[in-house]
Amino acid sequence: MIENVPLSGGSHRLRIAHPGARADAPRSQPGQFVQMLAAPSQHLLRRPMSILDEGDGWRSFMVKPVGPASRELVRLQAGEAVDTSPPLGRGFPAAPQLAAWQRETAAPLLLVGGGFGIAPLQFVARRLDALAQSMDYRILYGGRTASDVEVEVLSGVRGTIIPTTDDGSLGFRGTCVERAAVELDRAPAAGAIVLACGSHAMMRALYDAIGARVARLFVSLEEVMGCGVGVCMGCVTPSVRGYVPICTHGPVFEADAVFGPDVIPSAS
Amino acid sequence: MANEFPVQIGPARFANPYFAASGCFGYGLEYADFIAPGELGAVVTKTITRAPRGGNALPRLQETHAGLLNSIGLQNVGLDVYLREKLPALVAAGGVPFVSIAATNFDEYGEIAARLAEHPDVVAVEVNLGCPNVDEGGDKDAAEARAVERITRAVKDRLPDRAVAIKLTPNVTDIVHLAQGAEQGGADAIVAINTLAGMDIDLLKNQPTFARVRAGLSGPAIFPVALLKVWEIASAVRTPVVAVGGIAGPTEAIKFFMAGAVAVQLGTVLYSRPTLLAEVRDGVRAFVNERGVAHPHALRLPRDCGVRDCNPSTT
Repeated sequence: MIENVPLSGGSHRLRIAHPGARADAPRSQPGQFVQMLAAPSQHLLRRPMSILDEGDGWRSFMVKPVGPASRELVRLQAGEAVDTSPPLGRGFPAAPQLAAWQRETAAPLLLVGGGFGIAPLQFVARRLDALAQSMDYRILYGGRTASDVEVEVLSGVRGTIIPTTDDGSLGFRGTCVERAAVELDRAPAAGAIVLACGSHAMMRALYDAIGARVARLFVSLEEVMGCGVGVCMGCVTPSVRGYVPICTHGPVFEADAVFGPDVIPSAS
Repeated sequence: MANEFPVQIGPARFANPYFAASGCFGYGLEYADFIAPGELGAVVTKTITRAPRGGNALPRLQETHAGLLNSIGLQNVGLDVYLREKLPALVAAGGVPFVSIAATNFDEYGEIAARLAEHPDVVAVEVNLGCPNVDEGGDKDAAEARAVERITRAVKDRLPDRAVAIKLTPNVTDIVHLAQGAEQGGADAIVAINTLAGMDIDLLKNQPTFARVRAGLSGPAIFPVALLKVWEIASAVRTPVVAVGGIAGPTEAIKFFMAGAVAVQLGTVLYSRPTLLAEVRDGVRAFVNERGVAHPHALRLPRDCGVRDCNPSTT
């Protein structure tokens, strides 16, 4: 652990040494995750944490202490040991690909994050900002109330940031899913690219609300994981190819592949 | 390096006694970035069934104190895809395939075994008789010695030149009877233990955590149970015993050898520590050297050390 910074809403930004990580040419894709556990730990399985950012010799993570293992992680101080895996899974499309799509369609690019689902989208934003040609994009960052929206993690990001809260205590009153629909009402939605991360229910709601209106919708799915490399079959999701492990086929999926009409719904 | 303390199981010889347990190493290549499959004495595969299986509904995993409950339900690609794609890939990567199989009736066991017999690359077969997470062919159906004997014979008859191991469930009154059934049926090895049946309750949803209620407990929590079962089976039968259940480091592997195991399988621990094999191998080697013996098999304790006077004060 290099640094443990408490954020305004109870999450922590953990910066962890990863030899080989680089600022100029990240080895990890936004949307990928790292399996981690305090070392030593009271627990057995490493927990998947989405990568927030990558720099020279480190990666950072946004960890909310919601369970016993994440509480253990956020108690660690600089210099203490963390057991981590390499970056795992399939992330969001790379920034140059997103830029190419947007040039074709001139339609909105929306990043939609619920709660600490903002983490990988922050990483996407940094990669977009690093492109030679500047990109126009919007980040919708939703929470139930103002303290859920730890907007400081987006500091310095060049895109337009739109906080949303269910109670209206910060930014748009309503969910980030509702706001995404509003965004699409005012722009040519048909070519829009939307990247999203949040609870499973939020991903489903987003697909139902805007899936049919946009060109591409990518969702990052969250699930309890065992191994993180496609062995244990613990983190599966129904998909167009039957049950597939989220850790290796995702966590980022094109929404149609996991929520669309061709999904094979039931177990054997 | 992989060649260390070789072990003979029936007609098959393995370069070392450290195997990956079924369900914890996929089809053998998923962990290739962390450990070459050829480093293991054998890779016991994810259990293969005749037809592909999608597995159980979510959730499928729940961590417990020092353990892991799972309700995967034998999700696998099915025998055809396994033989066509997964088996050759493992062999090409230098792994030794120890194919885990399950079926729902005697005839199907025979059919799967006959198919495997056509593939000389299949070194050994582990019959999964103890899965608590399926409707048919699981631990409840495999709870009788006579059924175990019959299944063992159905498989062994078709695979006379391969090692056939029978993996037993601890979810019975007396696992030793099952081991005796496997021995009667001609098993080359007995694998003990499969997961312990357990459950959990989801307090928020006010219902059992798993859709099937029952789930299988693995991990360090079950090690003392596995050690006793290995001890009891190794005391009662002559068939070699392969130990599995709760290995977290070299210490548990050493204790399994002392209880009478000829080989050990690493299971749940691989999920968080895929590189543990080297640590186990080094630790066992150091212990064997320290004891001044040539092979971990020589660590086996004499059986009479288990019958000390239990109640010396009552005489």
